[in-house]
Amino acid sequence: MASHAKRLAHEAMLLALALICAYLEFLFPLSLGIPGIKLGLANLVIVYALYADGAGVALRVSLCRVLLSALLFGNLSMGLYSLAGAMASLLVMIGLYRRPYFSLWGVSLAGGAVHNIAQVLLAACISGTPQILYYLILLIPVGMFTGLLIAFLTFSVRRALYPARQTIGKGGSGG
Amino acid sequence: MKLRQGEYPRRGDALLAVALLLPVILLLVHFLMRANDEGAWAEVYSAGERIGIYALSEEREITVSANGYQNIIHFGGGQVMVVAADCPDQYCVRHAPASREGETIVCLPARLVVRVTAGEEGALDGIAR
Repeated sequence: MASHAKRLAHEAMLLALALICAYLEFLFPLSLGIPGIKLGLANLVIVYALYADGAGVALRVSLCRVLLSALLFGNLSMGLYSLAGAMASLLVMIGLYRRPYFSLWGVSLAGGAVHNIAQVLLAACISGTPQILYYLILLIPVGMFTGLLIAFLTFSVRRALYPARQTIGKGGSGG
Repeated sequence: MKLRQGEYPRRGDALLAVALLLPVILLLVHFLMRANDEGAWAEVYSAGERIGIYALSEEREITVSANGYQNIIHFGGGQVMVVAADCPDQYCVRHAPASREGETIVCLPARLVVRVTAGEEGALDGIAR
């Protein structure tokens, strides 16, 4: 069991990493010609935290990341969409990640898709135009693809960190 | 040990992918089915004046006469076409049915213009960032 200070430092480091990822994407948006599509690099940190440190840590880091990045380089409406996407996606991933029939790959894939689904649903509600839902035809597969990319990155990071992982603290329910 | 288990793809992952692609297919089918007859209209101009606007989703046939010629215009099934005309060149009759926004069928002798316009599509532009 890690000490309180150690845990605080660890979570703060994850938060800083997630913020940097979000900032990088804000500086160099990976535009594929389709509006509203990005990799969601910050999710790499969240997925990593979910698997390495548990649901509590992932939830706290994700919440703080969304609030801070909306304050630092966004606006209220962006923060709202960001929050809806991040929370829906994380809740689904938390629901799935402990079940033995799903791996990191499926969990991240579902997380990416649900992120986009939540945002499109919110957009349809706010604007009152259900036709926006047709955008899901594109955004669900894109979310699945970015989710797989994130899974690949998380997999690589965890494999690289594997020998050092014992020093970080045991995975558990967090909190 | 529990952590390692989650790192390699498992069978449930494919299940998740299929479950997520299901709504995509449903939406796509729905989209393709109503893409043709949603909100499209045709404006009809005769001798420079607009004489009417008709929905492309409703079966309808009108006869327009001007300049000594008659054209029979058919709307329906998401498209509009000139089915008969007594003009000498018959270009309007041979023109392919128009269904997309901006497509136009013209009959010069009869001074007739049929132009497809989008219906409520414009509503989406307001929120684009």
